[in-house]
Amino acid sequence: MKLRFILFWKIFLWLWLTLILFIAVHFILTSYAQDQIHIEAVPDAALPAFKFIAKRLENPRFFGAHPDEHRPPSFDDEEFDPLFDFGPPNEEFPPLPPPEAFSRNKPVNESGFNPPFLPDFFFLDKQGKEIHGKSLDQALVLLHNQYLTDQRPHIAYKQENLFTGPFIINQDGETRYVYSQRRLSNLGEERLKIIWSQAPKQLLLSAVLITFPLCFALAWYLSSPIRRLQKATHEFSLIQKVPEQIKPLLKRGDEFGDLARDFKSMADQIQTVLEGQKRLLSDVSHELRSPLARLRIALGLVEQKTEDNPVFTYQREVDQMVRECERMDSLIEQLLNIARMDDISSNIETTEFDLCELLLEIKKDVLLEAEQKHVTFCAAMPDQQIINGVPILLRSAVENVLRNAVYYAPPNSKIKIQLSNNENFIALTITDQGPGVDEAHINKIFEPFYRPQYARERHSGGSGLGLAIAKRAIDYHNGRIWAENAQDSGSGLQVNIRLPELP
Amino acid sequence: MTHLLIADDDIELCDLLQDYLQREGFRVDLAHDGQAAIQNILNHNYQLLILDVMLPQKNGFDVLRELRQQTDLPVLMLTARGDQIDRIVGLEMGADDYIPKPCDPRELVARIRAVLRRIRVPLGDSERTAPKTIRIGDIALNTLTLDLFKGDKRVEVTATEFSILHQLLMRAGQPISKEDLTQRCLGRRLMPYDRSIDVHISNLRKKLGPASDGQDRIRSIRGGGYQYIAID
Repeated sequence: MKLRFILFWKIFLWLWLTLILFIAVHFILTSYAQDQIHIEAVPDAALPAFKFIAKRLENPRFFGAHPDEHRPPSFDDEEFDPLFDFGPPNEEFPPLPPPEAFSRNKPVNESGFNPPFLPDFFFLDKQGKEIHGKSLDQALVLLHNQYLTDQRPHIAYKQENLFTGPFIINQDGETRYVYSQRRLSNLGEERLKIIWSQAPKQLLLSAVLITFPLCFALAWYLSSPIRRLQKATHEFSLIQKVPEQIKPLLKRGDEFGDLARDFKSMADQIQTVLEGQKRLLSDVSHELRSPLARLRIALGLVEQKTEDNPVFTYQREVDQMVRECERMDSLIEQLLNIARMDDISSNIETTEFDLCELLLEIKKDVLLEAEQKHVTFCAAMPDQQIINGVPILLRSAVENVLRNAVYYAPPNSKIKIQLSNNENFIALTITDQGPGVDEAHINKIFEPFYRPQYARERHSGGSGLGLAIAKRAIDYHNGRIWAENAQDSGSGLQVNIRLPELP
Repeated sequence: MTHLLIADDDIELCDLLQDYLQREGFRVDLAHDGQAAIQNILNHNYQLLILDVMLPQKNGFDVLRELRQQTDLPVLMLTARGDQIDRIVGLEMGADDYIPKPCDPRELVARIRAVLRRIRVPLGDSERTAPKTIRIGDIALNTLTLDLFKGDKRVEVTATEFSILHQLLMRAGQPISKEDLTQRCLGRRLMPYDRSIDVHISNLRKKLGPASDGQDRIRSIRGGGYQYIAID
């Protein structure tokens, strides 16, 4: 039987994903909520760009283009770049470095640093005061302090703000430290990168390592009793006996234990009922035989006496009664066969034998009936096919299928018998040219006493047990039997049998 | 008049059978349990026993086992139809044939006659001119006295086993089909699932033992048949 772990994986993945997502979201939210400031040094490769920008900021034309010389321009227009968009290069404004060094969209270097787009400027004097009296953000203070310690420009992120600087310019003979502040619209991505870089990796790793086995264990704990119950149910449906698998579950004190105990008591009841039914079937069949045996002899006596005294001839009636006796007897025999096969406690010994030889023997037996209807067999099989099984059971299975085929075959038709070995199993197919079976009922033909409507109308003599016996015999060998309406034109029912070579 | 004993616990059935068989010209005694059956057999000189498997006190097999230690009385077993094990066990223990129950009384009579014929006249009309003793290898079969010798030793066989060996020896070296053997020796058609001949042959093999060269005397033929291996 194929083992399926779908429920296990579902529980496991859901739990694990929930925990992982919880941890991730927790980090992101706390990092946003804490107004954390993240500072990183400007990489060396970007330093010339800083110098260049500083040079531009020094130029009075930069700020001079605006009515209030000391107020930085407003940059509502996203398309306008105050650093680069003011006329062609000339002496005062040397040509720009290659565009990739400045591109607002492309990283300048591998570190992913973007030259800042500067909408707002803060001018600090040597004492670190804003010369225009603007209040300084904490991030700016940090940036300036950082500069004072290592003499390098930095960038700082705080929420959606990006602070950059300083650009050191000379204004009216005074050194000014210019810082820029800009709201970044695409900071999300940056931000995640920052959060990731800030995230305590060891904590995350240990969280993952701990949650994995825990989730695994919980999923296993939940799914394994369910799977065990499922297997037990499956087993029960096959053998109608409370299976061993359920035993460990019975001791559990939880809901699974309750379920297993209830299942067991239900299965016990079903088993008792079924066994009682089988015993009844077997007993009744045996008991029916005695009166039938007497009836048969009594009829013989009637025949004898009629021969002695032919004044009253009831030969036709007697013949009919004899025939009915025989029918009833064969019905009882088949009922007993079914009862025997259902009784799995009776261990029948399996032997190795040649299935082809058995097929030929069966063909010979059925030939008499077939010849009366002018039905011919067309068999395709290998020279030999050794199989491990119970010859009597397989014989009754194949014979019943074949007799059924002969029974429904129209006169002068053909019955195809095909036997082949497909590596893993032996395939036997028997196809007649009869009317086939209505698709809706096609699998019912293996149920006891099922007969298609037209068969009932014809008042046929079949017992209605032949294919049921065949199915039980094939099941006993762990094989599979099923029927389909053959697709080829002129073909009727096709019965397929699959048998493992070593059941 | 042929004297038969029917051992069956179904009294009504026995009465009916007695009535039927008497009309067919047999003298019929009845026994309704195993002990009574054995007692009757020891006290009378029956020519044939019809023995049901299910008997109170001693079942059919026990009766048969006890009987075979003392007599070669031909035995026809009544078995439940389809019960292979009962049949085979019965034949292995030395029953001559079986008939499924419920049975067609005409068939029962035919089988009784077939078994009796083997005892009274072991040879068919055409075989009357055949030599009285058939010798093949160390086996000697006297068709008049119904004696079977292996070397100097007498081998006890039932009438049916004798008849089967006779057929095989007459055509030693040739395969004979099971159908043929069933028809000639049991006086009936070979039925599906019919292992009577196989069981009788297996009994014969046991009683005769292997040939002098260690080979089986009777070889099974693929497709259902047997062959006595001729040894010169």
